[in-house]
Amino acid sequence: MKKIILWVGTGIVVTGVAFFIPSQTGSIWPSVIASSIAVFVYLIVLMVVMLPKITSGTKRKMMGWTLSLLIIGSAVSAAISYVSTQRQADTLSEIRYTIDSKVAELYVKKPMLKTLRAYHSEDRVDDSAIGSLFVQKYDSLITKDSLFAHEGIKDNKMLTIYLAKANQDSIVLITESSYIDGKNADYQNFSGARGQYQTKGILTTNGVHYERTN
Amino acid sequence: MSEQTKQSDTYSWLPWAVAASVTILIAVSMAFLDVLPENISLMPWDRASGVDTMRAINEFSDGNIDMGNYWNARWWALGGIILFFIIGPSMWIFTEINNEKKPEPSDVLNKGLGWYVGTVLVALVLLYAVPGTAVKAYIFQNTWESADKSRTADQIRGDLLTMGLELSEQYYLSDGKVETLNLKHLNSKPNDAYTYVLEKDNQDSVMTVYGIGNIEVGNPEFKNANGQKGKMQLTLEVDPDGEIIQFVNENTNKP
Repeated sequence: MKKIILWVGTGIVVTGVAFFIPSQTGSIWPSVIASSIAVFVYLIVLMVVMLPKITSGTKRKMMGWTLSLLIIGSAVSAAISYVSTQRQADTLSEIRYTIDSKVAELYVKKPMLKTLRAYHSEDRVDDSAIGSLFVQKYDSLITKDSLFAHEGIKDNKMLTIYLAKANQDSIVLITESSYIDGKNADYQNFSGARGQYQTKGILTTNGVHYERTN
Repeated sequence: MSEQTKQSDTYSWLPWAVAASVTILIAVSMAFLDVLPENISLMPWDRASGVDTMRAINEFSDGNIDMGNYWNARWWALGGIILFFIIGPSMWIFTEINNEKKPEPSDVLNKGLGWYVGTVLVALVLLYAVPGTAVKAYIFQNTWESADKSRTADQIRGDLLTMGLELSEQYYLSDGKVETLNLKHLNSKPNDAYTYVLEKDNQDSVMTVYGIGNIEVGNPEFKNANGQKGKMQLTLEVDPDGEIIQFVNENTNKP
């Protein structure tokens, strides 16, 4: 009885220490991995030291195989869970990137193209410059703080479109995502934030130029 | 050989059968009878996965990386490791050693409570570690095959959107000359792993762009716009005089 308490007690202390070594905020995987390594080492030592004390050869072999299977199966299961979790997080992040980058492109280009269409239309009655045409057309969406509050992104709190420049001959719309990281972490974004994904769309009579700026 | 020893040898499987029955009863109860609180898994890696999945979803929806402590999940994970990988196997081995030292009991089932607890705990982990892992590996394979198909569809959809918008732009700049429009003349560079086909009628401003993926999905008999069969296909209608672009369901073969 004393021996089992000593073994179990040692196992709990070693595993517990390993569990609490990594940071205790956010993901619990670092703690689970550290304690799993500790517990597998404990099981191997337990098998090596205690199994030879079992006199029945058949029973000893059966127990050895069972515990080996338990360690290997659990390690494989843990690895599948870990890889799956990582992939899931990466996939969600990728989906968010795809959605935000394409939504940004759509809501910058579409109003610009509609303005370009109106500008080149044979039925055009006034002779406004392309910049003025855009402002007239989308005046209700432009806020005092230069936001281009397109209906399509009003529920998207992580994507903002700014009317960065509006003059007679050109319009510049800038999109900024608070979710997607930009390529350059030191990049100064239009909003004052740093290192976030940003794109720029320029409308002129020659068409729409759209590029990722960070 | 005494009568008692003979009986003991004949029924030596009985304690194992009892332990196996208890294990199955517990496993079935956990799987089907909701004996555990919602979202509780006894295995530490499933707990860790659950927490990270929740964090990833939260980050996806509000953009903030959740750095909570998740103490409840942490204690469950540590408790699971201690119970199933320290207490269970230790009790099993030590009670087996002790039972060997004892004289043969008259009651074959009398292996001691410790032996039953240890054996059931080890059997539960074994059930999880062998058939459970096989099922998990199968689900893993299917899930990621399906995720790869969705990724391909997203990439094609993104390329089609860019190409459709640019086709409309070219249409306005060319004063509506549809015959001059061609995918090769676009500035946007679509993913070259996929094929894009433009279908147009020079008398009509509405054009159709097909994006064809390199994987087989949906209907195996589906005829793709590039002559292939059964491949993924998404369709974008480009209407420069109308809504500019619109994804349509006609002539698509999606996952």
